[in-house]
Amino acid sequence: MSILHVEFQEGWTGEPVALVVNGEVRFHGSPRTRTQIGFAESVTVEADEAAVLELEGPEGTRTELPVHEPGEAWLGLSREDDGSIRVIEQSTPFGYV
Amino acid sequence: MNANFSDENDDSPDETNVDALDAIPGFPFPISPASGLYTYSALLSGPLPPAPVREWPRNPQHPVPPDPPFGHADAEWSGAEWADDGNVVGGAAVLPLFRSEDLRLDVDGNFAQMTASGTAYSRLTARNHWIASLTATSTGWSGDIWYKDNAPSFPYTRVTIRVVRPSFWRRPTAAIVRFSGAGAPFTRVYAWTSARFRSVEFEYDTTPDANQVISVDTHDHPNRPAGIRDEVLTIDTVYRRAGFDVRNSGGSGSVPVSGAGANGTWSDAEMHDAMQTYWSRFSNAPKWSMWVFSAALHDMGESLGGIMFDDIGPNHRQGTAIFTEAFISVAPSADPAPAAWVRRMRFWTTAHEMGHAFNLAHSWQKSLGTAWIPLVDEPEARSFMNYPYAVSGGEAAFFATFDYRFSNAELLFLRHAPARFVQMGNANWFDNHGFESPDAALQAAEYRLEVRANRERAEFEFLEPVVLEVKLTNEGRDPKIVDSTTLDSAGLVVIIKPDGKPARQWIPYATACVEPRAEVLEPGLSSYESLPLFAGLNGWDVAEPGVYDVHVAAAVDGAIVFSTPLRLRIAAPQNAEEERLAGEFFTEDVGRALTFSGTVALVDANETLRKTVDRLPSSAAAVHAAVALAQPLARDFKSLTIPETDVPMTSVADADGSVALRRAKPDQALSVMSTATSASSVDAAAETLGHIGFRREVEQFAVALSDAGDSAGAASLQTDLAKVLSDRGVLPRVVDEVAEKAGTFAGPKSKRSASTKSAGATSARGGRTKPAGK
Repeated sequence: MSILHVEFQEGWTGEPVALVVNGEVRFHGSPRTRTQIGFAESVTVEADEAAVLELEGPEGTRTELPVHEPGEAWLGLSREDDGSIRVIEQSTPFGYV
Repeated sequence: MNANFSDENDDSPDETNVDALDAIPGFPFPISPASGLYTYSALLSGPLPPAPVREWPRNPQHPVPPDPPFGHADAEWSGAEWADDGNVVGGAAVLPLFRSEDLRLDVDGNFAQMTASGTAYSRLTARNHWIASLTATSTGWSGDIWYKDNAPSFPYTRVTIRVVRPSFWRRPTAAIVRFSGAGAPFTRVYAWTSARFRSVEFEYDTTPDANQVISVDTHDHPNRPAGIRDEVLTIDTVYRRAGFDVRNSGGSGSVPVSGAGANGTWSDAEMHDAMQTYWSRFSNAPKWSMWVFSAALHDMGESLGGIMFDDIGPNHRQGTAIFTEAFISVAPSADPAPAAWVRRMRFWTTAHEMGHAFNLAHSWQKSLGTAWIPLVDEPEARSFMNYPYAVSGGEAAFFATFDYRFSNAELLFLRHAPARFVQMGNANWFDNHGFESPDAALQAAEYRLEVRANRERAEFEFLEPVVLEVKLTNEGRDPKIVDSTTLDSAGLVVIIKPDGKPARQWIPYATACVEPRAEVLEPGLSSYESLPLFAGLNGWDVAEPGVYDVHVAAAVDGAIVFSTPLRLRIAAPQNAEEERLAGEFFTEDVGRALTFSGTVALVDANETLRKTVDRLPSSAAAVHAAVALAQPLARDFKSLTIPETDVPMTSVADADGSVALRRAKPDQALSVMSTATSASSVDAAAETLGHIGFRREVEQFAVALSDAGDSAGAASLQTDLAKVLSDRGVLPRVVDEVAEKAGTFAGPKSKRSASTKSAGATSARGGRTKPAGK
């Protein structure tokens, strides 16, 4: 099993989103970025290493989130101006200031 | 040597001629920078170069003096001008109250931006702001203006600047700016004021379990820029190099961990509470002052190294926090100097969070939101506002070329953007209206200005005209000479800020042109004046139910004094009648009728006032309405009548206009007042009219009675007035003045009953006397 820390970072303005793991909704929320720290909200999920992780947007669109790190990983999700999702994956926690 | 990193360890850098921070290395002497703040002000005028006086240029194209550069048509202006031979010539300036201008010249010294900017203030409100990019010329600098606030009143598109100084190693004494490009060229001479562009004060507080770092040795860590100077750098110095005259507010100290609650970590709300408790400068007002709080950890845990937490309440960006035990306390495992790494990271984080309080965004966020000018992201910037670990090559690459500075775009913002964008606590407050201090040095420390309501809680009924009181106290040790008109409505700047809405400036319906008279204000004593804030040329500024903050500023003794804000509340309508009447009541005519103590001409307003007395007899609004209805009856009243005619009128006399005099009807006036006050107490009348207004109305009524031959009635009114004021705790000397005046109404015995006289005493309006108040 992997532990995934999914952190909503830049560009979130309160629209409802859902985190879907292997077709199962694990998180519902409306993250809103506090620009002074570039962070909105975080959620931790457990999933097997072959799990398919997706982010569902307000219009039902789903974006698959790549996970490459084995074990524990941190995923930073930022929403771009065009609505696409930028993903940063790392094996250490993010730091915000 | 690197001129961008000149020496500095000076807490009072402006007291010497050329301080170490500002000196530009040169041979054989260090050159004094020209950069800094220059000001032009009637209130603070520094030494200017000697200048012969001449009349305005006899240019047939411009037979009259050109408009001043900042569009103050009300200003009597005569400035300096360059003569044909290039010499400075000029004239004496005669300026309106509160008129001043700033010039920020940024051409040398630390991180020069080759930019000049200027702000003109009128009555404390920033009226114009301009920014120009400069290039060096043989005599100084010149360049195009690329940013303007309030462009229509400022036509110029180019500036040419030179400085006047005794020698290159002495500070300048003045900067001469020629505005041109559109309209008649114009030249202004600004006096040297400071080596910094703006002033700010910091207060550093910490919890005992935190490791506060506000200084760092730039050579402590081996990974650093090759040429960086070895010095102990303080946070204060970082911001001095960014252009601020930094002071410490002196209250820096310890905050107990108990403020963080049972969990020992800090939430934003807990820090906001701590800021209000422990920050010696806290107030809900925009000011160049910041609270810098070091604690161990935020509720978010080790992932949050710091936060500008103050986005709660009406005035944001006053407080910022650093969490010294968060991830910033853990050096990379292979780092050769982990202790130095941690110390540098804590220092960097402190400067970073403070940058947010100056309204600086992260380097990669520059293009987001509503930037003050179009900005581009700077993801690779070696700036305090970038994440070191987010650049290409990571934090090692960042610190290898990081010069402990802000980016040029950030420096441009800090030094030259309109102050309302940068100043702490300003945020939304000044979006539509500026209320900026032209210069912190203008603050007069020996006076205290208060705005208050003559009631226990500043809560007003719906429809009740809001009348406040301003109080000026001499807090110095010596008697002061103050202008008798200092607290007159026309001389004050009053800003009203409804919660969640833009601020507005209260503009009274009328301003009196009164020859000022010098008055002595003894130490510890105060002068008072009534502030009928409810309506003015902007309409009914304080009418809708809700919460309002009222700020007042006054020019006193050649300086400017700001009040602390008064927070007042307007209640919601209590019944349907109040709601029905509101539409008729909150009109300009009713506002004027109430302000001017009645009208004969505005018949619709009088009808509304009668309805108010009839339908809401126990309301505070009814007291005001009754006063406005009764006062015209209490005195002889002149009205101008002009017959209807189809012929174009050339003058009132030609149109057979005439002034009719209607004699006073004190009995009718008392009848109106009796009806209105039957349901209201004397105390309530004094409360809603304010002590000064109440005294003014009653004394006018007493005079009217006396003029009508009822001297005893007048004396009785005056005596009742003294008792009411005494019961309400008004100063004994004021009560004595009122009581003594009763003795001046000698004459025939009263023709009225005692009960009728009491009714009049509750609500009639009277003459003005200063000082008065509680």
